[in-house]
Formats: sequence, structure tokens, C-alpha cells
Amino acid sequence: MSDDLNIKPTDWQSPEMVRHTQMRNRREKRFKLFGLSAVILAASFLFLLLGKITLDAAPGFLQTSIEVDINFDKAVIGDPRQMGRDAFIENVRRTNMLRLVQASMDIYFSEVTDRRDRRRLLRLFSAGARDQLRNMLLADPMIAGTSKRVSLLASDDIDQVIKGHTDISLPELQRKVKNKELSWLQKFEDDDRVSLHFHSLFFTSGDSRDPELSGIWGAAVGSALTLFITLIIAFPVGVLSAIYLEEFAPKNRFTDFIEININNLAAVPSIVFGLLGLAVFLGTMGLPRSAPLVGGMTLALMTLPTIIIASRASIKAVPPSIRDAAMGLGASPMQVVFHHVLPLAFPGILTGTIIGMAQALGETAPLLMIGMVAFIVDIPASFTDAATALPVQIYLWADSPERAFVEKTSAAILVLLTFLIVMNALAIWLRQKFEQDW
Amino acid sequence: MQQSMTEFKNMTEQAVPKMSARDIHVRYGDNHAVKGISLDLHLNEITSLIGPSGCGKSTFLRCLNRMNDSVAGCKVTGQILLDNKNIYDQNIDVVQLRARVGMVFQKPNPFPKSIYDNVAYGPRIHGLAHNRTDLDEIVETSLERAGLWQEVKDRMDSPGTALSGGQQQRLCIARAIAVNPEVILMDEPCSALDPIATAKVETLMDELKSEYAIVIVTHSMQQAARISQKTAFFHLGELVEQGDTTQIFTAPRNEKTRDYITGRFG
Amino acid sequence: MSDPHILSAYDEELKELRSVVSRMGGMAIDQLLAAMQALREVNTDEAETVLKNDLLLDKLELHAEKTAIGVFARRAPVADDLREVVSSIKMTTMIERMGDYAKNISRRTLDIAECSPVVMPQTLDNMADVAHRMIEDIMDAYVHRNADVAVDVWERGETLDNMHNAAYRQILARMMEVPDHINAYTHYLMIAKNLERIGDQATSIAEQIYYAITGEILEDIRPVEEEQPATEAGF
Repeated sequence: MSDDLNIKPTDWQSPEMVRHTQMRNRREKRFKLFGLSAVILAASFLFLLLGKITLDAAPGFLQTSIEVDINFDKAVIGDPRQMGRDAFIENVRRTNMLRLVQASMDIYFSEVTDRRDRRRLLRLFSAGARDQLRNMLLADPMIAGTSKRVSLLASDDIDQVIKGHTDISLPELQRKVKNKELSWLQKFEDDDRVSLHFHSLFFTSGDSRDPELSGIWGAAVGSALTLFITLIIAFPVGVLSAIYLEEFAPKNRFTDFIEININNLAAVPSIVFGLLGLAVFLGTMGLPRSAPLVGGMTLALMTLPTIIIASRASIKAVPPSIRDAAMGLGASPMQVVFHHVLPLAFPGILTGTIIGMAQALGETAPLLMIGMVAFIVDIPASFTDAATALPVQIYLWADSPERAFVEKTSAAILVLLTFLIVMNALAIWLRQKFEQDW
Repeated sequence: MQQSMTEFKNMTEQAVPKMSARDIHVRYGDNHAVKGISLDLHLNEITSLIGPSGCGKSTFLRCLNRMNDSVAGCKVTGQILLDNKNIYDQNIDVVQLRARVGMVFQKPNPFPKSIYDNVAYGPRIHGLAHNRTDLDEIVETSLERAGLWQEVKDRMDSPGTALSGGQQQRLCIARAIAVNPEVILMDEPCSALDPIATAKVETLMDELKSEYAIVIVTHSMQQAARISQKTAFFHLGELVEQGDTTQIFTAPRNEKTRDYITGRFG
Repeated sequence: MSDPHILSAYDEELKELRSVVSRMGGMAIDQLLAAMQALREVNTDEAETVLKNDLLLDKLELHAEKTAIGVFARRAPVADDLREVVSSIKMTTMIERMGDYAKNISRRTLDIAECSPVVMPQTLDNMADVAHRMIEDIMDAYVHRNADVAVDVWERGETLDNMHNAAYRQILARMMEVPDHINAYTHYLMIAKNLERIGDQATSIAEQIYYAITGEILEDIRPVEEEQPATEAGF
């Protein structure tokens, strides 16, 4: 049979065949190698970036404190027993607590008498030392009249010296921290009064001009409020649009036009959304500037296309056979969607939403346009309070001249990254959970 | 002689068809997919629609419970009477129609839910059960009639998608009969099944025909010959020949029918 | 057999089956002619040859049966293919039977050779002639798928019946004339019967061919005609 067709069995041993096979194998190996090296390159960049940020950020979570003996002199702060509680509190509020520190320093550095030097001594401590002492008194008025060893926050310059970020070998003129201050610091150190400890204030306070007093809580709350608004606007609107476009909309030129525009919208630079927010929400509607409400609305606009596209993709991925089955049993179009299509598409929709939200969380440009870039010390308490957001805070800090803000910036980036990773992990977890249940 | 006797008996019994299509045309845009088909479907009979791919038999089948409504650009003209009411009338509710005319598809497509929920879904959305006990009963009898009850009664909560292909298809049939239809449409129900599973589904269809009118689209001429009482041959959107299955498969009247069933096409 | 099947092997098998059937038909004619020749000449040698050759016909029938069963098992024939294969099987049986009748004639010839010689009735020759033409025509109808010829042959069956009756009377008359020759004439009587049977088989074959070609049963044609429209409306 095969003789007629003159087909010979393939000779695997022939040199031509062997060479051919070898070449094919080599090519395959080479391709794999290229792929692997691409992955390694990408991974090493990522590790480099993360490593650098982590290294930079690590000192940001620490803060230098100096232990000082404070005499809560009744002459300075008043006597709570004589004055009554309210008057005492009023008095404490008004009193310059630095006088207590000054008094302590006068005793500790008795040799320093020059008025300018005594001022400089005070500048070893953070401006926050005042609040620290005041809060101690307000919490426990009974310490008035006693002496206590208190651990006061050091100023950012001193902090940098302790962390080794200031080059003390430079000539004195080029340094912010002069020799005198260094010698005073040396004395504290000799007495073992200087300590470096975890800086919880960073996670609980708002922004400040002083690096040692600034924290990310204000920005985090701002971000949370903003994202909440984004979510409650973008999620329902996005999912409903996706369902309508995918399941109900007639296929005509108008819906095609809308579809193209949604896809285009996803590619629009985010700053454009900021401009839109500025013009419409602030300009036309007159909503408050710098408010999470406006930020959230702006980011919702930006996130909508992402959510719509992701939702449509996952709705489309539901096999038509399921739709047929439900329709064949007499399910109405809405029942088909809500009983069958949505449950199956939900993990995908959720993933798309969370990724969209993560994108919104990391967005800076539109927020700049609507004024969420302002310096805000207070923790925002409502959607209309002035607020800032994590990425904007990072932007602000990165712009600050003080050396200590460098590590704060990295620390804030790390916090932001952590949030993003948590959100993505949540997306993965939710997807797997719902896919198991289907 | 005897054959013509039974034929005559059948004729008198089934003078009124359950469903009957009158001059059905289906157009997808410029594509004239079904051209003037008239066909009667009777209770207690399996009617098989055969013909080469793209001959319009599936399209016609989907007209019978208006599954084509959801296809963009699909236009159906003509009448399909179900108990003498045109199902394409304005006042016919398509949801109710589909409860009366059930459908089983080519690929077994159980919902990704439990076996119980698969069967219970139809009765639930149509409100056929008043309480859980009713529903349990409907589910059990449907599975029983589909010959699946013995195989699945101990695992009603396991997913329908975990069953074997043949079991899945029988589950889909159970799901279809759970809403008490009068007509069952089957679109190549065995094309994805192995011979054993096919035989089971065919046996089931043969049993079910005592209660329903069954229409099956099939590419397997042997299957059409095995299970159906009536056969209709479609070609290029036209109904070329219809008649008793035995007649079609021993002495087709039309040349095209003969060429198709004997494997002479093309 | 207008268009070829998509599967050419199917066509090959059908062709093979058809060629076996026509070969058998040809062989049956040869056997009949040879048997009649032997009878006319009372040639025992030739009669023996006819007996021997019948085995070939049996073998061919077996071969045709095997081929047909193979087609059933592997091709699942339907419509005209189905009718053709079924009627082919039946036809081979009938042709083989015709061969048997030819064999019987030769057997009778051997017996006749031992009797006192008598004159062979002329009608037998005529009958053989008619039967021969019937077989020839029916095989022609088979090869060329001609239903009209089949109907023609079918109707000719009656002619042979009448000839057989005539032969019967003729031989009976001769028996009564010369009772000494009863023995030989009995054999001629049986030969006439055999020739009539061959004609019967030919008409049966005609029915089979007609069915294979048209899908209708020849016997039903006339009485069924009035019922036809009713059947049409059945579906």
C-alpha cells in the first residue's frame, strides 16, 4: 500500500534528522533562558526598589528621646489643689512648658550661662516636648510639685545625628548641628540618657512641620474616607453599567460609541480627571475644597472605566451554555443575570474593583488638582473636612527640605505599599473563596 | 399490512398535533436560515430533525420555545401553534412558554450548583412548590424519571458539575422535566457522550415520550433511526422530507434525503 | 447507484456484492442451459458436470452472504443501500435455488438415461427458453437498475405457469398412450415442474429488484393505490 505512494519510514538516526532535532532543542533551551532572565531582571528590580525603600524607611519608624529630670514646679504651672481643677488646666494650657525644660537644663548644664546657648540647649528638644509635658500634667495634675525623669522627644537634627545621618566630620560651618550641641549631646550620651525607640506617634498623628512630630494617620484616614466615597460610587455604577451593556443593551451604534468611550476613558491621564473634578465639583457644584467627598468622587470617575471593563470581561467569561440553560428553563433575563451570571462573574468583578481601588489609593495627580495637597495637621473626621491622602502626603514630605523627612517619606511609602499589598491579597483571597463556593 | 393498520390508528389518535409550525421563516440579517417550514409535532412521539450542518434544524428547534428571541438581528415570521395558540403572539409570555416547552442542550450544562438546586431551580422560579416538602418531592420524582435518582440520592448536595458527562445530561433532562413541560426540545443531546451514556439517555427519551412530545436535533442518523417515530430532513433551510422514521430510512421519497442518509452528500 | 458514497470503501463493498450476485446469475443461466443441453442429448457426462458445478454456485452464495453481513455490521446501510443489501442476500438464495433446480434437471437426466429412450416433450425446451430469458432479463434489470424490466419479468411468470400446465397435460397424455414409458415421463414431469420453479424464483427476484429500486413492494402496487393519499397525509 505504502509502497505505491513511495513513503519511507523516517530515519531518526540520519545526521540530517539528528542535527534538526538538536537545533530545535537548542532553540527551545535558548528561549527558556531568555524568559528566565527576563523574569530575574524584573524580580531583581523589584527587590532593589523594595529593599531600598525598606532600608530608607526603617529609621523612620524610630525616634530619639532624651531623658531629662523635670521638676514640675508649682511656681511655674500653678498648684492644682489651690486653684481648682479647671483653673489649673487653663493655666497649664497657657503656660510655656519650655520653662520647665529650661529649668532642668539650667541644673544639668550649670556651666552654660550664655542666653543664646541656653536657647540652643532648648533646641535640642522637639517642639513637641511642650505638648508632651502638658499632656502629662493634664493626665495627672497631682504630679505638680514633684520631680520626674521624663523622656523627651529630641529635635529632628539631633535625631539625625543619633541615627548617624549627619556627617559630623564636616567643618562646623557646613553643619546644622554645631560643636557645642554635639558636646551637650555627648554629655547626655555619657549619662546614658539618649535612647532610640519605636516611634508610635508616626502612626497616630497628622502632618507637622516638624519631622519628629509628623505622622501618617491623618493621611491614612483621608485616604480611607476618599476610598469609601470612591467605592460606594464606582462599584454600583460600574457593575450596573457593565451588566446593562453586556446583558441588556441593544447592539447598535450608540452602544458601540459608549463602549469605545469607556475604553478610551480608561486610558485618559488621571490628571484630566482632577481637572474635571476641579471644574465640576468645586467650580460648578461648589463643594468644599480638599474634602474626601470631592476626592472620592473624582477618583470614582477615574476608577469607573477600570471596574466596567473588568466586570464586562468577567460577565462575558460566563459560559453561554449557563445562560441558555437558565433561559431554557424559563428564567427571565433578570433572573438569568442575578441567579447565574453575576454569581459566576462576581470573583472577577471583585478583583477588578479591588484593583481599581488600589489604583485609586495610589493616585496623586487628581487629588492635587482638587486641593487635597494642603498642609493639614488635623485628622479629618468627616467627608467634608479638609484632608490629604497617603500618596499626596508622600509627595509633600518628599518635597520638604528637612533631612529627617527623607526617612519619613520612605516609611510612608512602605505603609502605602503595605496597604496596596493587603488590598491585592484581599482580592486574591476573595476570588478564591468565591470560586470555591461558586 | 399491519404497519399501515397501526399507522391508521396513530392518525386517528393524534389528529390534533401538540405543536405545529406554519410557514416559519428565520432571518439573521441577510441570512435566510429557515425557509418556510411547516411541521407538526405530536404527543407520545419523538420527532428527529436531521440534516447537514447549517441546514437550519437547530435554528428551527430554537424557534419552538423562542430561544432565538435573545439573538441579535434574528427575525422569525410565521406561526407556531402550541395547543392552537400562536407562541409568537404579543400576549404570550415567553417565560411561561419556556416552562411548557423545555430544552436540553448539546453540551451538558448543569448550573454550578448542587444537584438538588439544579433540579429545584425551575420549580423555584416558576413557584411550583409551596414548601420544602413539595420541592423535595418534585426534585425526587424528576430525578427518578430521569433515571438518575438511584445514582445521586446520597449526594444531593455535591455539585452537578462533578457528575460524569452522561449523568450531567440526565441531570439536565431532570431539570427540564421538573417544571412539567409538555414538549421537550433536545439539541444534539448525546453528541458529547460515550455510547453507554448515549444509550442511557436514549432509553430515557423512549420512556419520556409516553408523557411528552419530544423533538431532537441529531447528527447521528443511527440515533434518529433508533429512537424517533417521525423524521424530518432539513437541507439549506428547507424541509425536504418528513415522514415515518421507518419510511425515511428504508425508502426516502426525496433524492436529497436518500443522498444524505446513505452518506452520498458532497 | 448514481452518486458515489463519501466513503469509497463502502462503494467498493457494494460493488463487490453486486458483482457476486451478477456472477451467480450468469452461472445460473449457464447451469440451466447446460442442464437442458444434457437433457436434450441425454448426455450423462454433461449432466455430471452440471452437478459438479453447482458447488461453485453454493460457494459464491456463501461469499455474497459474508459480504452483505460485513456491510450491515460496518456500514449500517439505510434507504436504497439497505434495500439493496437485503434484496441481494435474498436474491443469492433464490439464484442458488435456481441452480439447485438445474441440478435436479441433470439428476433426472441421469435417471432418464437409464430408462428406455423416449422423445422429449417440445414444451420443455420452450419453457427452458422462457425461463432462460427471464433470468437473463432479470439480471439485466438488476445490473441496470431498471424497475420496468423487473415488472415485465414479473408479469411473465404467468406465461411460464401456463406453459407448465400445457406441458403437464401433454406429458400426461403421452403417459396414457404408452404406459411403458411412464417412468421416463415421470422424470420429464418433474423437470417441467423444476422449470416452472425456476420461473417462480425469477419472479421473486423481480420483486426483490423492484423493491430495491423503488422501495415499494411489487405485490402491493395495485391494491395499495387507493390508500396512497391517506398515507401521504399521515405526517
